[in-house]
Amino acid sequence: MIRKLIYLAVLVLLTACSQGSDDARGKGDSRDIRFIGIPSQTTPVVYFYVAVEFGSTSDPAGKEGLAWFTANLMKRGTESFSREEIDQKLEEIGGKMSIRVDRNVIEISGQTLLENLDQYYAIFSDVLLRPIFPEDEVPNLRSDQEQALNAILRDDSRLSNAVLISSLYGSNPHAHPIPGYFSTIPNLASEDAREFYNSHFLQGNIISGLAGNYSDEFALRFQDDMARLPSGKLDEEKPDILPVNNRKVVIVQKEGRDQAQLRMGRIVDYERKDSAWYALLVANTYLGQHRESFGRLFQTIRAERGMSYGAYSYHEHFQPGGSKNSLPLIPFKPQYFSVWTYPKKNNVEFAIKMALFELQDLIANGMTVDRLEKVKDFQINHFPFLVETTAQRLAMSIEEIYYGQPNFVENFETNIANVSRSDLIAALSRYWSSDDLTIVVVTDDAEELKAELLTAETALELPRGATGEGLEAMNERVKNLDLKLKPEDIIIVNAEELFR
Amino acid sequence: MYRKLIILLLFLVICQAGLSGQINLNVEKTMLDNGLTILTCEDHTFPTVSYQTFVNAGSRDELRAGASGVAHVCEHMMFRGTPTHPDYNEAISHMGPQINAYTGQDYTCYFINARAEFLPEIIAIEADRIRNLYFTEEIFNREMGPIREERRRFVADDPDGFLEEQIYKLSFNRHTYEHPVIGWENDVEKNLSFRDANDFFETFYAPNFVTIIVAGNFDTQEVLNLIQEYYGDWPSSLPPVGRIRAERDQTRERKDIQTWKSSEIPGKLAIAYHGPDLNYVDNDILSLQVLARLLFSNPGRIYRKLKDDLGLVESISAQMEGMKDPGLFLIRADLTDPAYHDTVLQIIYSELERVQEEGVEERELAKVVTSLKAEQIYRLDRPSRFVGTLGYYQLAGGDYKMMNTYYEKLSELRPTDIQQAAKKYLQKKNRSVVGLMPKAIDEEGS
Repeated sequence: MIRKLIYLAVLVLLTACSQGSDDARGKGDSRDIRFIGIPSQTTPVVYFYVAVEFGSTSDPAGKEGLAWFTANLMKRGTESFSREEIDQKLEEIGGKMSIRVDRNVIEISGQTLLENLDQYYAIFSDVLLRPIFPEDEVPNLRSDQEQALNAILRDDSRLSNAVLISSLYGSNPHAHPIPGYFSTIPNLASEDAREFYNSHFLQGNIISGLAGNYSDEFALRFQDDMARLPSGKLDEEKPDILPVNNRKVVIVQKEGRDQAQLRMGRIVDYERKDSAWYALLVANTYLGQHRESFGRLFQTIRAERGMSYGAYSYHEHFQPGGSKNSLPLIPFKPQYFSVWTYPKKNNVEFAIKMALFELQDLIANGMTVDRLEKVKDFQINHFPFLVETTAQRLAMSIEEIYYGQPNFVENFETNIANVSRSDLIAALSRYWSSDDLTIVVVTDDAEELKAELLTAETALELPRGATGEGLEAMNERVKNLDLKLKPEDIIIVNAEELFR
Repeated sequence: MYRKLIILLLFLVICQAGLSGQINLNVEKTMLDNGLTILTCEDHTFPTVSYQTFVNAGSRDELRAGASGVAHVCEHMMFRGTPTHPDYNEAISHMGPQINAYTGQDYTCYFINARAEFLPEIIAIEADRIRNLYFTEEIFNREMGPIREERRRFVADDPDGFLEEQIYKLSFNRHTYEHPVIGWENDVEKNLSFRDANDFFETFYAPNFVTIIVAGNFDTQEVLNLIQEYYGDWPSSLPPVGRIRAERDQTRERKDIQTWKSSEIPGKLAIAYHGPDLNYVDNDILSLQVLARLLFSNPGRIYRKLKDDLGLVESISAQMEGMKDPGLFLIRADLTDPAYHDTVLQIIYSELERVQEEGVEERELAKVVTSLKAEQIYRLDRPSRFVGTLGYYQLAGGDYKMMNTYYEKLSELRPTDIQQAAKKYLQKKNRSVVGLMPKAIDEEGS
């Protein structure tokens, strides 16, 4: 069925990657580049996507933020265009070009009207192949980079997630924010960017693609140009990290909050290639599918008790992508599982217990066969929205190559349909836990919350209508859940001191 | 039986060849006897459908004091089930749909996107929930909890949400655009009653206030038959009591400085000028929309000067809102330092005056027009996106065909149109300004 939905021909020219050499950077034009093409004549638009298999986890110590700095400096000056010319020309032709840096990927993507393809491609290819890393753009870029960091600090939702990630990943390079630290941004120089570009933008580390209304000739030209990048492939060693062993709470003190942001999570060591991934996708859909109201967390925290606007869970790293689905290509290795809600300050402890209660129940009991089938139906029927547009199909195909799963789209329905209740329970008991979790709360009275978490009492303030049958008895059960916290398990940090 | 008022093929001047050719977006308009309006756009190139229910009421229609936010409350209530489907989620989740809703000042929208094969089921469920909704006091009271938390998240703890609330409050004295869609804090926390919500729902959730827009992979006749079957005997409602008061012309500049509750922000600014309503009879609104882009978006004049050359702002943007009644030309800026407040204002004013005196260059205008037209084409990539645009024009502008007019008139704009609109609307006396400053560091924790 899914295959039928991907009705446009997909052309994958996947050539064997070179095994690299002592000098990973070769001369170019040896066609290590991986290319995918998705032609479509439905609109007069051409989409570009280039993914480099490195991101902020490749930042050297002391130069955290370098991947972000490098990628963004690329768009600020090339051999043929100044930054102003790039911006002006893109506006002139209605072209879009964006650069996104993630932990393990740098993504350069864009779209243009067919009639302006040549003009657009002159800019796109120059940014990718001939950046000059202009010195005079560095001060402005550093300022933008600090603002990107400030944007995380000022948004409690993003802040709580950033603190969760940094707490879970400890000294692993996944831990630092993608824009780096305030202390490292001033260290980033044009020369650093050039070096990063030279060592990482190698054919063997790049997956490129086109979609939409382009010709065969243009596809060949694009591949020829990509092959101008040096051949070779860089394999970076990434340090192992220790999993979290205890329940730990990090309270972020931030002034003037009416509401608390709550995240809970733990490192998990499954990948998309594992069959458990599908079982846990199903488990997560049941527990807390993002921005859907049927999840258990949403039902118990919002619908029955009216104590938060939302309550969700994520079986792997998630980044909102403008709809209810995540952005494509945001890999973490290892992955982490998390829960997110944002109750009124007084209800934080109860919200933690409620989420843990639901998680415990799921891990212990799974779900009924009937419920399992409904959840699987949701995932199977929802999948077309991940490949609905030409641009999405291109991104998904790039993901298939990145994750080494050439038939992910084709086999998705079967893999979900094959998840049995016993698979689910086995995967849950192996990978998820309600004990070994790190809990992060952003609030404005950290000391008071710490004291509350250490007492036996649990406050709960519900709106008047939260009077469903059996709700009071259930509330008592939830309140009685023992968080098993000791004072040394709870750390308080000041928001103003973060990311320094 | 339904009667077809208009069957019109909407030819967008967009096409396979690009900006100068044509693409056919076939929109068919139908009205049932009870007043329900239906727009269908059959397109078999997609495997999905988007079914969107637009209610022609938003916060603009909240006339009773103390009941601000009631349109948004009704939106929340719509997810609480019916006797046939006590659990709305249970009824639809097997379809794997994308569902959500949003309330605006002018209208409220409920959308459900799903695989095309589910469309008949969707029509039955959507008709059931809007006609037979559980609307009880107990559910209302419970739902106010998440609504209060939503307000805390997007207004009380969000400086941008707070600033937006303040600039509308300062700009409007009579019109209901004064109050926020989510409602004033006192209303959401205390004043709003079940009766307010029930009255609003009874008035506006009726076929004479509803437009259904369906796009994607389906057979139009089959869909119209189903809509007739499920909505055909839905009774109309009486017109609402009371009327929306027009805003009087502003006669002097209004200013306000607010202090945010923490020191985390570096200072924010909102500047608003009263503009025209959404209409393309003249070129005023289009000119102001183009001007907002031309000056304030990258690489516009003011954007480059304030952000790149002088480093006075972290970000700056502007938009001319197209609404049922005259809306605002609204400029927002995040300062890099609160001390730059006055300087940023002066630079913006002086650049606006420059446009009034010297106009804009043909080349600048052409760039923006091309970009805006390209964005319109990019929006055709999925049914849910272009249904949103059709709905906006149908509800806020009164005619979905304005989507075409917008595209056509963009090409006709001349620099003199921009200059005239700037002179007419961007006047000091027509302006309101709100600054949002950080709490002083030494006040923290006090």
